[in-house]
Amino acid sequence: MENFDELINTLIIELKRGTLVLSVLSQLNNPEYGYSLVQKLEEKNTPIEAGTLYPLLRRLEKQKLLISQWDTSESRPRKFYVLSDMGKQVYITLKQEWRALSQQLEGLLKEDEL
Amino acid sequence: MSLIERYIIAVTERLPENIRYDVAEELRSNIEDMLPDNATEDDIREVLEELGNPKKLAQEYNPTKRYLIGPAIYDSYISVLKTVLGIAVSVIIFIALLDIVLKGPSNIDNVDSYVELFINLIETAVIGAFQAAFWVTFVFAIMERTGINEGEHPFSNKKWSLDDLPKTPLSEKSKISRAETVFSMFFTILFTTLVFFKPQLIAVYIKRAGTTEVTPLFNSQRLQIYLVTVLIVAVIQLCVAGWKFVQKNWNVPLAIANAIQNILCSILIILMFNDRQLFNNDFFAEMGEIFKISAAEVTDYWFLGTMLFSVVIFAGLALWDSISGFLKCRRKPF
Repeated sequence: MENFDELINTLIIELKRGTLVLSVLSQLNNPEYGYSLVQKLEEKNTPIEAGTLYPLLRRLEKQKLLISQWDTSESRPRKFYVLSDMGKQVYITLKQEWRALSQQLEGLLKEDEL
Repeated sequence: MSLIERYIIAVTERLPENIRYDVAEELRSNIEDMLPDNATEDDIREVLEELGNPKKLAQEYNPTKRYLIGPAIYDSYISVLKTVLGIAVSVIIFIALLDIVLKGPSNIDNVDSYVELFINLIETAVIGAFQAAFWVTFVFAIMERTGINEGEHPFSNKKWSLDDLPKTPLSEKSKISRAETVFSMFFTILFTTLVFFKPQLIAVYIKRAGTTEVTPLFNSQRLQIYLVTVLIVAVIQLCVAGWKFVQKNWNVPLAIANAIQNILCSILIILMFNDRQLFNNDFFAEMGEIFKISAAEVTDYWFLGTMLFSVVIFAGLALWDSISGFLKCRRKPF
């Protein structure tokens, strides 16, 4: 039974991994810093582990999907991330892809419920 | 130092220098954001545990190639490693035994020196094995990084196309003979090891009054000049041999590398074998005594022989080998 749970867990993590980038991009129309984004995603019931999210933000910035800026006006400096122009385009395309994909998959999954 | 600082250092020390500072700053501000006001030690522990193993976090931050040899060439690596280690160790043992046999048992008088010989043998074998393993690994790490194994276009990131499919499941002719590769590796390693460590073994051995008199073929001082070149050529040859192992079939870049290797090797052999200073004059005198002719005559015959051998036989075979490499990659399936 333990093996079964373990296997399910790995498969769920794999499933979710593909959606990480899309969910992060969807929340970055306005600037967010690392922890504010963690909280925002948690509130919306799509939690991402902090240890996964922080490096992911940096990677997306390196891929030029995000722009970052240090804000030093408040009591402690924070690094804010926001979608770049390219990021916006990528987000729109990915969103369409995701919708098409989930529709196709839904079709497959419905087959045996008829 | 605070727990937080220790954690940050544990993450950033594994990162490349240029992003270290920025990641540290960001991580610090993120951790502080995650903590409540007036955080207690327990709060800090909880947050850091949530972030998890710093090693893993560092890997997420720095997703570059963190392996020396990837899965694509791992199998070839292991098979080449085994072959080369096998060859290297057997060459070393072969030379060591040759050494013992040629020196004659008269020089070994008691059990202790047998033990010593045995220990020496093991020691050289182990050192040789490590050397061999290092060079094989080095070559494969280069292959991994240049992508030389990923098809017919080394050093370019051209995508695989159907044209790159090896034509050979049908044609046995373009296959590279493994036995041939192993054979040439064996001789490369044997020759290099002999020249490097035991040039005095290549000699005439004459038994006189119970002791064996040894007259080496090479003038060891003159030989020094060639050592670096011999090593470079040997490493190049072994690289090409390793490539042959991976590629299994002839293709144009490999045939070019093979030709270059052959040319370098032939030049070296021709230079060495026609260098009159490289050979020991005492050797010619000894040979003259054996065959009852003058040393000068021996010298003449010798250099006529080595000239013929190096220019006609060795370079000829190398030329043939280079050409056949090119011919074999043109073989069409039939």
